[in-house]
Amino acid sequence: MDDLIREFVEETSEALSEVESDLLEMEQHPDAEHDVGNLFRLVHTIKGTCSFIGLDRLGGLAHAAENILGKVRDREMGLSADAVSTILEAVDVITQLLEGTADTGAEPEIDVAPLVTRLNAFADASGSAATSDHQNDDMMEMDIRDFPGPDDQDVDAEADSGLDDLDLEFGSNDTADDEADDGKVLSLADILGIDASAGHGDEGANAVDADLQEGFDDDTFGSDTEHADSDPDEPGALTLSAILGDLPDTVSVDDEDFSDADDDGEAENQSSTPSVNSIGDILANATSSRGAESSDASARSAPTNNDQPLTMASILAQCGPGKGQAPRPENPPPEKKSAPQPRQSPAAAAKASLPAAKEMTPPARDLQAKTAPPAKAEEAKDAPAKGAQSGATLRVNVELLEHMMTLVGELVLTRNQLSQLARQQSNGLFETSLQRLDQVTGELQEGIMKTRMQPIGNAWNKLPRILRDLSKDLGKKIELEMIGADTELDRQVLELIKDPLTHMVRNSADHGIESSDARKAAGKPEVGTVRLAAAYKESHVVITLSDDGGGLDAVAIRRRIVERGLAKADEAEAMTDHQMHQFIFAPGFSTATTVTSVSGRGVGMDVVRTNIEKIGGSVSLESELGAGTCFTIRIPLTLAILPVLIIGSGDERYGLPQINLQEVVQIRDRDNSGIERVSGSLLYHYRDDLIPIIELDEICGRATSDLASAYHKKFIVICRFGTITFGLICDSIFDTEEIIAKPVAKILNGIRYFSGTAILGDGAAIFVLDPNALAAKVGSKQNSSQAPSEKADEPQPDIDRTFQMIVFECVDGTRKALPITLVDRVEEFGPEQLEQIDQKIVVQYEGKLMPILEIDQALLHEQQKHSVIVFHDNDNFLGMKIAEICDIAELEIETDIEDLRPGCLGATVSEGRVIEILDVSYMMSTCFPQKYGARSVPYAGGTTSSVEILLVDDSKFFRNFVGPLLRTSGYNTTVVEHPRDALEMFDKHPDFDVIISDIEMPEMDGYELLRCIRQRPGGKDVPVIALSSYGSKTDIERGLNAGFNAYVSKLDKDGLLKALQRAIIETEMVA
Amino acid sequence: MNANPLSDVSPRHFGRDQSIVTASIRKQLYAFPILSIGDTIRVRSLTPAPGAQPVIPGVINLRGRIVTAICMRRFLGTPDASWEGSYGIIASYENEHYCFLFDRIGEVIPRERFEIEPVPGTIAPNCQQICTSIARIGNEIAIILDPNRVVQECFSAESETNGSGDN
Repeated sequence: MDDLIREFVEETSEALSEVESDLLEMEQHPDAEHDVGNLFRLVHTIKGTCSFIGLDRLGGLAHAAENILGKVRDREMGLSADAVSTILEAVDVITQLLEGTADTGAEPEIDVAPLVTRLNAFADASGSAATSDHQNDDMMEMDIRDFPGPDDQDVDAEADSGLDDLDLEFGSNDTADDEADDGKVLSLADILGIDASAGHGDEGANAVDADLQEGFDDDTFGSDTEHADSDPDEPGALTLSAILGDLPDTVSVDDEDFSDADDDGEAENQSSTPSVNSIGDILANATSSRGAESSDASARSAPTNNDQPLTMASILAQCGPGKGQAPRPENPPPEKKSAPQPRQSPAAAAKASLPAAKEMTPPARDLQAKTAPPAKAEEAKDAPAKGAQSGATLRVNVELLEHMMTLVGELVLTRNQLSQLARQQSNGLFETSLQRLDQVTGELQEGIMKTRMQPIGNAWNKLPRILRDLSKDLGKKIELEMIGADTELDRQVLELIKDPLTHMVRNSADHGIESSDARKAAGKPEVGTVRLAAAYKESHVVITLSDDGGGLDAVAIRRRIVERGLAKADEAEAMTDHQMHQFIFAPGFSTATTVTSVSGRGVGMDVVRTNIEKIGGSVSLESELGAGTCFTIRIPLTLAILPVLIIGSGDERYGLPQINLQEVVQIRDRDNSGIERVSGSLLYHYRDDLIPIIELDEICGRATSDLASAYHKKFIVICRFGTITFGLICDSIFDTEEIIAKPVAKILNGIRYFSGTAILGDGAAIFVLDPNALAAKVGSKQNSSQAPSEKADEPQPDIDRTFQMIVFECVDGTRKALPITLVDRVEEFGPEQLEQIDQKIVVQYEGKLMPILEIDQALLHEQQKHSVIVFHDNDNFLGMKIAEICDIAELEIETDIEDLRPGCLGATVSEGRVIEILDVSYMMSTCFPQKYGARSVPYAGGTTSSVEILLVDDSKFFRNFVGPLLRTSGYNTTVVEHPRDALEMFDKHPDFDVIISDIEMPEMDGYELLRCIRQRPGGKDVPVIALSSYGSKTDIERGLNAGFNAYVSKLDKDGLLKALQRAIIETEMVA
Repeated sequence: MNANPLSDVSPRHFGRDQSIVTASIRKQLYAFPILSIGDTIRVRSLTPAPGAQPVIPGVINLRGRIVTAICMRRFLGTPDASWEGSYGIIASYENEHYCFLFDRIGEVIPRERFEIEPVPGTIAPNCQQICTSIARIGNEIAIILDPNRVVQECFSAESETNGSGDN
């Protein structure tokens, strides 16, 4: 029974998804020709099977759904959206029941009665046939029960009309007899289905002579109701009517004709349809193959014998394939037994009737197409029970396939080893056999791979439904285009991308496509399109999901980024739109203003990305505001074979998945490797970026060297995982190899950086590096904005006050800290590089002389390297010797400290120790007095208020210096680089309390900016403070004359803060 | 110490007439019930598993199958040596294969040539965990090991290190 249920569940699931897609198709193109009959049959079969297995709820639902479909098929009602919704609802519940059944083996306790009632009501709404159907069912069943069991299966039904006698050969078997003898239910299915157990087919071949005259007898069939009131030896007749009733509709027969036929079956039949004479032939043809067909059919529908009268038709409905394809006879004959039926219910007869046996009275017009010509019937005989559409297929246990896959993998590896051996031996003896082995193995591997391939459409088949429901819920008009559904993918991969894909399609519909109104306003077609396309590219499948919706709103994302603290405002400002778009992959990130039932909860895209990357895929996106968004997903065809780059650490080799590989760089320059060590973290100057790097040696537990020259000749493999780009230093690079990755043994689960093991062609076992783990390691070390995913899970620190600080030990042993943004790099200089000029120690750096502070002249002669922190502003470099870097951490800056000495910006606490924050600007001013001018009064303390400040400065150094200073003093500060950005920002948010602007800027200087601001509405009264490196009296006067509210030297923190306070107080007083 | 008679030997691995395979570290003989093991090999190459616990030096390609090596020298606390020149005894545990590294593999000893005795209480604790009994083979004594227990010990060591010293 378990097997039975499992098979049932599988088959029914398939049928359900077909029903669903057919329905949607019909709904979308209501005018096109559709095979409602097919839909009907599918549902009918489900119903029949359910009843057989005893799944009453399922059966009841399917029955109710079938009623509606029957009406649609009979054109009693159109397939309205409501009808589709209602049926889909039923399909959902059936699916639910089915899943429950699959899990537990028994039908879950779900109350389906209300839905059934609704379905029936729906069917009734457009006529009463459905209900009467229902009643008829009962009645029919009752009547049939009343039949005496057939004494034998010989049924004589003579065709009086001069039609040829029909020989219906039915196999018989004992079961049929038994059941019949029990008087239980006259089992037509059994009669016909007897040779389902093929062996018995000949045992009791019985001739059934159908008597046309009988069929016309009123006594045989009730006239008002459709109850099948046959006399004892009628089963054959009934059978025929059922058989014939199932035939698709083409011929329409006038009621009148049948009424006439009533009087004189023979004559009238001849007259009513010119082809009546041929009916016998056709029937003979049909029936000669009936044995075969029905055996197929009954093999399939045998389960339905709970519901005997219905079963018959369902059985025959199953005979479809052959018949469906059969050319339609030119002159469709009315059928013997079916003839009376239209008379009994003329109205129904006039319409196309259900092929289902439920209506035992399929009208004559349904007759002919199903009556397959002999040739077709022969084919049908050979066809497997499932019908032609499933072809010669076998269900194979997936585990078996997996196992074969593994074996073939090993075979391939063995072959590789053998080939390698043979090459070394250069012994011609093996060559031919080896070549053959090579070829066969290759083909075998390909073949096995193919068995696991499934069209990607399998992962898509739920999408039309989802999108349809979504568009209803959201009130949008959305069309789903699917291209390349036949692109095949490994089934394992397919399973894994199913959910992410569904999620993304939902997102596109919800966030991507605008409302109809918005679309119209934007001049776009009202119906939005979500397009899903799949194609092969290299050894990957590339899936693109695009919509013609609104695109990603960079401004909204930027705002969210800052709100969520994923990046600081100034960082966010500096990002390109493309960079910003990547943030939608950050955990919990959503720009949706409201959470809908569909999406907007902010869980999702990060999971999507993780899932895709887990299977070695990648996802990227392009978006244009107003034009739409396009996601590109690349996934490997199969997980079984993984292309890796073999890299070496010492003598050991490791595999790195190629998908994560960006570039390989060799370090050629002995002295300037481009690698810097900052507090145990390594950074590499990669193009214009500073990326974190890790050493493979470290991963592999080998000793690493701190010497810069240690990296000479080594390779840096640039990898990318998610948003993190990082480098991996390794000793050597071998070739790329396709490997079959196996999971790491459970006992080795503790090792972090490997995702699998594999055997190389030369027989060596290697570990495969896990880019995910490497990226996580980098992320935790680096903890920078490059890894938003690492930070977002943690509670957000108060970003207004904390900074990423580099903590270092000075030469005198004290610890100091600096915001890391102010540090240019950390260098090592040998004594030979140090030079002395006018009491100062300098080095040549970037083509300039860089003064180095805190270095003892005595050290000049010692053979040791000096670690130097390098700062720079514009063209000036400044170095400061330090003992060592201690830490990089997010620290809070304390500025409320009295009497700080010059050179100290404030303090911070790290590991329980108070650490001075170095004032770089002070150091700059002491080293380059001519440029920065003298420093003024020490800082005295800040104030806190919720004041919005806009800071404009083209120098990164000062943005990073003044910005944090203002923020730590409690001002909400927005920092921009260009005056035009400032103006744009001001236009958007004219409620800035104070604007602080640099004077010397390219393109537009501070004076010009001031003029522009003053010209804007709302810009007349906003205080603007000038910030300049030039602090002479004339400069100040000029600034104040130009209309600046204050003019402050860049390095005069206190002056700036005081000026700010004054400006704020003044505005408040004015207001 | 409770007596550890023959009955205490896992019946699945040790029939009354089951032979044993001996292996040695330095001079000490160990033995496995022959049905508890799958194979014996000479270890020709081993891929180190960085980050694994010390008793696991790495993995071995055994005819296309990747097998986790467990160094019995380290496990039993005898002075360490390179895996090179080691011999391995292959056994499987929960569908995964393990290779126990020894200095030498001895011979198969039929049941009639040895006597089973209980484990003496004086045996080293780390050995106590994994041995089931003692085989007296003429003048020599072999400690009979249960491969399952060896692997289980490694797993529990693994979970301990993961529990405490992560990162």
